[in-house]
Amino acid sequence: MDELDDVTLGRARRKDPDAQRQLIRFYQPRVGALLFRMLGRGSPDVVDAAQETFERVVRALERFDPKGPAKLSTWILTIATRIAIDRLRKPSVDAEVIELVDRAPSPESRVASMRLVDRVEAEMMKLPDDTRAALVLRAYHDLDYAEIARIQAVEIGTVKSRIARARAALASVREEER
Amino acid sequence: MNDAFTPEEREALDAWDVPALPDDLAERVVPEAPREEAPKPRSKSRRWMALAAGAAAVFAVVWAFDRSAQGEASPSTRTTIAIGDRATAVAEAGSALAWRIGRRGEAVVQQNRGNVFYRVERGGTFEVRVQDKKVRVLGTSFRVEVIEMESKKAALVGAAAGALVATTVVVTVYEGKVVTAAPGGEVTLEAGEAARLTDEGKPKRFAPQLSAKARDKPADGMMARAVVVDEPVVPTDETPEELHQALTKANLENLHLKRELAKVKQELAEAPDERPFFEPSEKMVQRFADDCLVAWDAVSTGVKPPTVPDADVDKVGLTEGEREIADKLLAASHDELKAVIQQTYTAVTGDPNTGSMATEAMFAEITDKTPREVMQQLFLRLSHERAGRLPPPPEGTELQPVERMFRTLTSSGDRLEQAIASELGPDQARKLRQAHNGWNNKSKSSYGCPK
Repeated sequence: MDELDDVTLGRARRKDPDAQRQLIRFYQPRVGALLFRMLGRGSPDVVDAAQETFERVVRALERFDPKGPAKLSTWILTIATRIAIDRLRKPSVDAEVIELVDRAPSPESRVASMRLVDRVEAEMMKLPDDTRAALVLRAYHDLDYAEIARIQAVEIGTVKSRIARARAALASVREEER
Repeated sequence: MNDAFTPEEREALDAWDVPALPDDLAERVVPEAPREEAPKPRSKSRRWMALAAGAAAVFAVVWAFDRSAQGEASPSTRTTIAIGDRATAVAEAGSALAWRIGRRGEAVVQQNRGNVFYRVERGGTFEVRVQDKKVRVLGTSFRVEVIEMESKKAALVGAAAGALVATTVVVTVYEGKVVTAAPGGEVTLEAGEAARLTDEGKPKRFAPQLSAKARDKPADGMMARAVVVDEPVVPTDETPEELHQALTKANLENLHLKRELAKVKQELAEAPDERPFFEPSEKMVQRFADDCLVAWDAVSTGVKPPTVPDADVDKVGLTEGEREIADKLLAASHDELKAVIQQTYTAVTGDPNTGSMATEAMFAEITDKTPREVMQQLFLRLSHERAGRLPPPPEGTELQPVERMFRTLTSSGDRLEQAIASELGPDQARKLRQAHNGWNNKSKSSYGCPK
């Protein structure tokens, strides 16, 4: 994956606002892709979480070591992942929305009319948050097992088993189609 | 590494596409000028959704007010959504829409399926696109109402995996005018007109069965509704008469929705919106208890303790000495919360090495490892105690670590205010807490009520 050039990164670390905005624009698509998949495409929380992610990035950028083990993108995705999981564990008003969902047509009838994108998302959203995060980071952000393990503060074996579980869920989506 | 995924898996992964974040996110985080300007407030959608959900319990409608420049909704029940500041959409169950609002207020809504009713106040261009841009409804300084409906047949066809479907859109205008565009051309519709748009040719104009009331709408805006029907590429057996019947039904639904919307707006207007986050009204406290939901404010538990910002020192009128006292008390609260989270983490995981872990990560691990049923019971007790439905546990009760942690967290905002009040007086303490509508870490959480 591409990384921001060193000159702009250096300026951003020296709190140059133009460079900070460039950095945000550069990594915004990746952060958006992660947050939408973690929080759900219909979540009203995504933009808020993205803003929080970059606020933290900008605040902490000075402490980021460009020569350290983590790439800038991995570091930013780490922050975004933690913010997403934190928000998922504070469901807030979602509980009330869930109640309304329960009054909607049965899950089976809803699933039957769903498009593939919705079925995939529905299946992925059923996964534990850490499991979904592991899959998203690997499948969409090209992170290797070791990087994901560092982000999630778990052993590589745990990452592997999480991804295996997510793949099984993907397979079940395809099974439904047949 | 992605080669590890099979082609079938990759196909499913590729299907899971996502929208983009708003273009002005960078400016929100790092304002352009002046430099000292505060970042643009985050979306207030959570607060509005909370209020809306309250009204929804009565009217089965969710009012989601979204001031962000972009959004998406795929509701499973009828949902009312504010698209920016000047548009309202009432989306029926099963609909899917995404929208983006430009800096000048121009809005583009991509409606992929389902039934949606739109109202647009005066402002920039408002455009509704259906699937592959076959249909566009353009508004300028008018109001627009669009209703989309799906035929029974379409629902059946849609249920068949991989069914090849085309789109038919019926647009009916009540006030003002809209431009409808299909691959074969454009047609401008005046109030009282309708058009059917298919994959081929220009939109076909026809006279809908509008109520007299609809025809008599004032000319200061535009209202329109569209019936969007997914249908197979093979010829459909739906006749224009059937579509007219659907339109008539939609008319009735339209009026019903308007009444519901007015009620919800009334409810929202009466809602105690201006009350501080940390002091909800008795009505809201009871609603929270109904939903086993607890709202609390606390100081953040990041690496460094929070301090009183410069702006708040002026706003509240603190002396340097008072600021130092407030900072110390904020730090004490921060340390207390970190300590209880660390202790709980060790108790829950058995891991005493918490030094290198972020508090947020520990908190997440604690809630992750605690069975959902336990969290539900805990939040039921906390919310019901606040509502006066349950007594608090007697003094000296030995609590489980997770419960002790949540009780510490959820009461810390009040205790901090009291601590500051004892040093600086109750007025200063309240002003400090109110400066940002609560301490800087606000939560409103529920794990659902126990079954």
